[in-house]
Amino acid sequence: MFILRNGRRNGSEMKIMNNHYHIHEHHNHEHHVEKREVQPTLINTNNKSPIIELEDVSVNYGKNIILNKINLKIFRGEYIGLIGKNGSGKSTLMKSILGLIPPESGTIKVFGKPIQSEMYDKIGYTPQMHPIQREFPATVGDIVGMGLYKKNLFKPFKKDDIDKIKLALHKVNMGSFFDRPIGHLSGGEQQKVLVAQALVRDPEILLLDEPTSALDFTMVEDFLRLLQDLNNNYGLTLIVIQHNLEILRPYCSRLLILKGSIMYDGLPNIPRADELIKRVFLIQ
Amino acid sequence: MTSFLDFLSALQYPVVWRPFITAIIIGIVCAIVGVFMVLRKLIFFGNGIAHSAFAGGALGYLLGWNPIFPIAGFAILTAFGIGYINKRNKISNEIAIGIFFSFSMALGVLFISLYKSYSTDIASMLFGSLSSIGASEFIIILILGIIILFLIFAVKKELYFITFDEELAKANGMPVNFLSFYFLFTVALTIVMCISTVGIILVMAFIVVPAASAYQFTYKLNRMLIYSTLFAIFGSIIGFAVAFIRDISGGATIVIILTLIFVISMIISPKRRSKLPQAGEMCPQCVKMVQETQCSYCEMEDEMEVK
Ligand SMILES: Nc1ncnc2c1ncn2[C@@H]1O[C@H](COP(=O)(O)OP(=O)(O)OP(=O)(O)O)[C@@H](O)[C@H]1O
Ligand SMILES: [Mg+2]
Repeated sequence: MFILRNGRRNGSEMKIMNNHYHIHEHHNHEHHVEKREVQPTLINTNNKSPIIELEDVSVNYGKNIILNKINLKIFRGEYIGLIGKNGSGKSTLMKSILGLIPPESGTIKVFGKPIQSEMYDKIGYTPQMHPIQREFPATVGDIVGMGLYKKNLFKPFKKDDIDKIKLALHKVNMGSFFDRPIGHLSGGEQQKVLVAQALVRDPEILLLDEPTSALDFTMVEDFLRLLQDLNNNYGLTLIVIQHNLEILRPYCSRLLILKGSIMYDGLPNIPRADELIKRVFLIQ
Repeated sequence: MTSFLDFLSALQYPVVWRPFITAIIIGIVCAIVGVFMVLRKLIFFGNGIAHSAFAGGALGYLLGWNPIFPIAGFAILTAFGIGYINKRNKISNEIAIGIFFSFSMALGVLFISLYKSYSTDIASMLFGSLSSIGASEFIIILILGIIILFLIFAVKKELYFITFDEELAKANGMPVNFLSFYFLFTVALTIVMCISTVGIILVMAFIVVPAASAYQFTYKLNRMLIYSTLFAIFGSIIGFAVAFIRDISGGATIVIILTLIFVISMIISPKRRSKLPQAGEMCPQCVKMVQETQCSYCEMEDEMEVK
């Protein structure tokens, strides 16, 4: 019941556009380009500079190496599924893209530059589920509105921002929750509110850390369709961390398998991906 | 025994209205700062700063300075010290505060023992003295109060965000480090403002109790700020009046009145009452909005339109 439901029909065309990246299994750097013969308008996407670029990025927690020499280029309009075992560094990767965790070495560029204050206006982020204080004095509307604080930093909140908040809540099917205390919602509802918080400033990049982990199965489908719509109709660049790959697979255009380093980077539904998923998830 | 009317007529004298107005100013400022401290769970931190002020005060007496400067110095240094250690994430906040806390108390005791003649000023630093407030001190408190309120309201919504979730705020590009140090600084100023009148021990009550009472009644920040302020003003007026009439300590009486307000708030708090869904709330069973006073969805299970 998400409102942007009709975008599926041009999904297939857009998928093709998105397939311009390389497959590179870690260690051996064999590149091959998928489906070069795409629509004429999309020809020069290959020459475009990446919207997110990681070069030899390593992240440590103390002595533990969490991410090891990550190289990654993400282009505008891609819909990336990021999977990996618990503790494989998925959240860490997302946080380092956001500048929350400084890398030990390597460079991270967003919009072609190291992350800077004004870029956050164009990035939406929903963190991994964590408990919210039950009695915290904030309504759903307040929380979604926080997504606009950066734009109005040290300035009063604008009145027409209320409409943006309502629209964002409506997109995640939470329109009727505007005045409810955030701490009183169920886990899945809180998760949707935090997604609305990420959507409210019309981001160009959306980073979602297990956004569907607390949603019931009917909601998951709706939610992923909403993301696909945003991706198709607005060219939103998406990185979605997800545990249940089978749900995400039909939607995303590119799959990353992480285990400290990137084990797989390519199309989501080719046999090679399956092979690697088995190897990463089943074999220690 | 004096009556309430006697108290009102006595308010025309500076020795009465000055401490009375001071109590109200302190009440308001602590109530506002307290809301954010309660929500950010910084109560123990506030206590640590208040106790570090003891060392400052003792040093002031030892050197014969106006104690407000060393008190401010110690309070602000401690605030930044704890904030820094916490940011580095090497030691837990509580341990850092505990260490600063006891170290500065030890320093204070050391300064006092160097001072030889034990002075009543030390006792007044621990427990404060509203009634002895002079004209210049009153002006300082008034100006500090205005500055603190300005500092808080200038960044109210930004503080609100980092109070809700620091990491999310950071991921939104908010200047989280700046804001949290800014807030710690404001807390230190607030404590400095209160030390001479309500003392190290009681200042935390002024900060915690009105905010904690207001917390019982609302899910809106602005309302919490308003309720907290109203409770503080009420507590200060009644507490001061009672103290005047019975000729007892003003600060202590206000704290007792505030605590009574808190107890009553706990008892009548709507947050702690019935779990049945009200209109506009959600039915816990079918997870739909309740329109009337009871859930009308559970009966008619026809799922509206299944698209
Ligand atoms: N603040 C921290 N301090 C120390 N180690 C940490 C910290 N945060 C994460 N780690 C470690 O980093 C590793 C990767 O964590 P991360 O949260 O990125 O994993 P993940 O892939 O998101 O896992 P999950 O699927 O459980 O969310 C884990 O082994 C974890 O123990
Ligand atoms: Mg994670």
